[in-house]
Amino acid sequence: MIRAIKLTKTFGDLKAVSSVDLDIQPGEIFGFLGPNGAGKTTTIRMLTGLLRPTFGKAMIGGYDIQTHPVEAKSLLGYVPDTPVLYEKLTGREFLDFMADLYRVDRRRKKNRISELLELFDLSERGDDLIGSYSRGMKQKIAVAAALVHDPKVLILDEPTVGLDPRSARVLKDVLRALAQRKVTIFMSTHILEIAERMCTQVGIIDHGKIIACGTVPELRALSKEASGSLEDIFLKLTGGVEYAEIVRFLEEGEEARR
Amino acid sequence: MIRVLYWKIRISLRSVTKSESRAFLFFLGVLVSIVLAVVVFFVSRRIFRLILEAAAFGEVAGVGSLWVANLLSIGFFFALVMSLFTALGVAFSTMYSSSDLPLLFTAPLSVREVFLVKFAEIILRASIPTLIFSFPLLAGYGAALPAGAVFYLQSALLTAISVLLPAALGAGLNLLAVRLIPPYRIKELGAALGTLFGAAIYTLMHLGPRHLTGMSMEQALQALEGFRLSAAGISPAWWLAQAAVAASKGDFGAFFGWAGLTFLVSGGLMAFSFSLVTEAFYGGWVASGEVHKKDRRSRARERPAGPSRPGRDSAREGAGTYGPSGDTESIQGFVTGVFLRRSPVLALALKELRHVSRDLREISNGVYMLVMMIVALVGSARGGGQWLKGLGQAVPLYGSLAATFLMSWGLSSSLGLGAVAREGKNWPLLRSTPVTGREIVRGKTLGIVPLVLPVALIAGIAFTLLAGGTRWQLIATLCFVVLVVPGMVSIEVSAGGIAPNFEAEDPRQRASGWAFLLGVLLELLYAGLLAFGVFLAVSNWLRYYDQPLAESRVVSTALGALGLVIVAGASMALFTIMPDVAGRSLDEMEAVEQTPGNGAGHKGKGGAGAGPNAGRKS
Repeated sequence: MIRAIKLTKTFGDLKAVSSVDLDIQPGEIFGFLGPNGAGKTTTIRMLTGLLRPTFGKAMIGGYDIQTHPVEAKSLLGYVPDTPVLYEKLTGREFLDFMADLYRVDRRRKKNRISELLELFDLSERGDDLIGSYSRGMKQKIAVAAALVHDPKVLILDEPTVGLDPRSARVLKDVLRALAQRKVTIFMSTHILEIAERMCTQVGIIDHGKIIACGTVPELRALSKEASGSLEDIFLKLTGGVEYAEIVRFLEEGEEARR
Repeated sequence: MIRVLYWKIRISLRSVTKSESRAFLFFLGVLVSIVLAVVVFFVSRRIFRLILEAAAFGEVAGVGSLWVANLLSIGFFFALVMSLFTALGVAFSTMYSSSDLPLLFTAPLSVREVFLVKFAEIILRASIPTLIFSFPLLAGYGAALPAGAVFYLQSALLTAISVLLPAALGAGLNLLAVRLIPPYRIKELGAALGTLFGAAIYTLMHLGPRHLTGMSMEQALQALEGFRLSAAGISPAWWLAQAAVAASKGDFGAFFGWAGLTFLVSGGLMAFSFSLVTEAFYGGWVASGEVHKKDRRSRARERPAGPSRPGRDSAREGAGTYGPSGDTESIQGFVTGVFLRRSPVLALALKELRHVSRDLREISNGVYMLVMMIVALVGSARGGGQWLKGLGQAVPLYGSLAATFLMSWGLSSSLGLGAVAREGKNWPLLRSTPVTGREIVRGKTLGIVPLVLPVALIAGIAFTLLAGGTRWQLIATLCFVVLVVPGMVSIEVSAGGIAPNFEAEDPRQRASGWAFLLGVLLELLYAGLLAFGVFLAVSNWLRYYDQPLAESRVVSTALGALGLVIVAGASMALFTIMPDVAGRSLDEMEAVEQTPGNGAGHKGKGGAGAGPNAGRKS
């Protein structure tokens, strides 16, 4: 459902994303991990058609997003990393607007908007301007907008940032339910626990290259961390072990002072 | 606290000199300020000399210290108003929207200390207009007398006192406004008020001198006396002026009396706003985001949303009132045609309409443009118009058409040129949807047309009636407006869409200079084409001229029809072609521009990026 073929993006001399290959099947929840500056958002932007690859292709539902953008984007729901929304629209109007952009049938749209507002606990504030929303509420309405047209592919960039525990739980449940309905979910996150619990496949990107891809047990085998958590695997693969050592050093220092 | 203030000043200075272009702008600003201060000094010295000479020779009865005080009072009044506006803006940006507040409040500083630092910042920045205007004014007066060194010392003291008042009042008003208006709207309101203030100043500057020209000295002085705002006994501007006059006479008692009165009132206001600051911080500010909570509760009672009460909801929606906000219900109802609802173009048009009509900055910019156009038209109508006489009976029609065209152009340019870039940081979200560039430009054009059209129609009616036009001329003008406005808006939206600046906060900076020029060029070509079409129609159909272009009735009718086809066809062609061109250009653009700085995802270090997401993490 989502395919990246040799996806590459360079900015001058810098290769932000280098030859990324992905093939994500319907119903999969793909966790996209990587340290800051690894190329996650750039990859996501190429997958959503916001950036043109320097080389390679991004395909959504069999459509090349560069050559058939309308067809590909019709299948896609996207939640950006920062919920920048139309502040002068109310939450309900925003969902209505997004549904129209995706050409959602009128009758279906009406029910869908009400359901989504209810689901994310926004019914009471649905008629207030988005400008008056808190960051978490904006995040919720952004997620709701991505779901309004019942997408076949959902791409989420750090979706749980700013969400309260209840909404984060709702989102996770929604994503699982969508995956059961064969919706493909591509999610970048820094919360490794979420990735470990939810994702059927995990890809780790570092310095623009996919350094590992597979299920958590597969990654465990790859990193030779037989009983390690995804966090341990991630730190080992991305060279972040030194951070763990620093933490250990600080803890030992604290104990010594006691 | 002093250390904090020192660091704040240091950071401010560093921020204005952090790049060469910024340093150049800062230097330019300082230079312009010095030039302005010098100009104020020389002009005021000249005026005061004239008044003092006139008083000495008894040319005008009653001229003397009263007129000097009046003039000084007006000067102080303008300086105070300018400082007040500066203080209002600075108070908002430093007290509330400043990003260092969390840092300062977590530091071991009391709330009062933090606010004293902020207060000092307001005073420092609000003193700039005073330094440019008040002190040179007093120095000019001193030079005209001529006065001794003590007068200049007293003037410096008066200048310092005059800064306190607007700073305290600005902070106080800002706090009160924050208590009443939600914080996310106050910036917008401030910008709108500033723009409207600018429009008022523009009008005064352009029409004021025309009005004053030809006034006798006595009339001018009477007008000066009639300026009550500055001359009233309760006006601080008047107190400051009285103090200056007392200083010039060496009357220390009176000087300290008037200056002390001003200082006391300023101190009182400062104390009041200071107490309000603390109060507002703990109460008002925290709660200000919840201003409409009560409204929401009542709404929730009236109209519960969500699927729990589908029956009630659908019944309401059937009546075409599905949003609660009264200002949008009519628009919603208007567009809620069943078959129209699924069109992305109409969705974009409706969104644009809502967005502009709810944003005070957009409205005030439109009003500003209209004021400028009216002032320019009134000015040219009063100053000339001789060339129009050669056009005979067609004058009212041509005049009203030209004036209406100019007015509509101004508004179209104000609202349309930045329409695509109005998306700002929403642009990537919009581009992630299956909407083409052409649909975006077309939707935006359709959204702007209903905003321009009513104003253009009113302008057409007003200009035709003012020009003494007939009923047929009025109908012709209104038809012209309806035909022409879509093409005009299309030009502006498309020109702006070719080179949008999504980063711009200020609506006037959303299109590049060359996009503006492209818009002007295309509008001029459009105007030329329309003028030709109107000329053909008018000369052959309405037969205003003794000798029509063709004697044969058939040829004459055909030429008239050709004129009409040209007018309507030009608009239609532009409405069809321009969005295609601009849309294609938008489709070829990347929705986000990234540079190695942000592309590689260095959080917060992507300032070099020019795109909407520049500076964000990757």
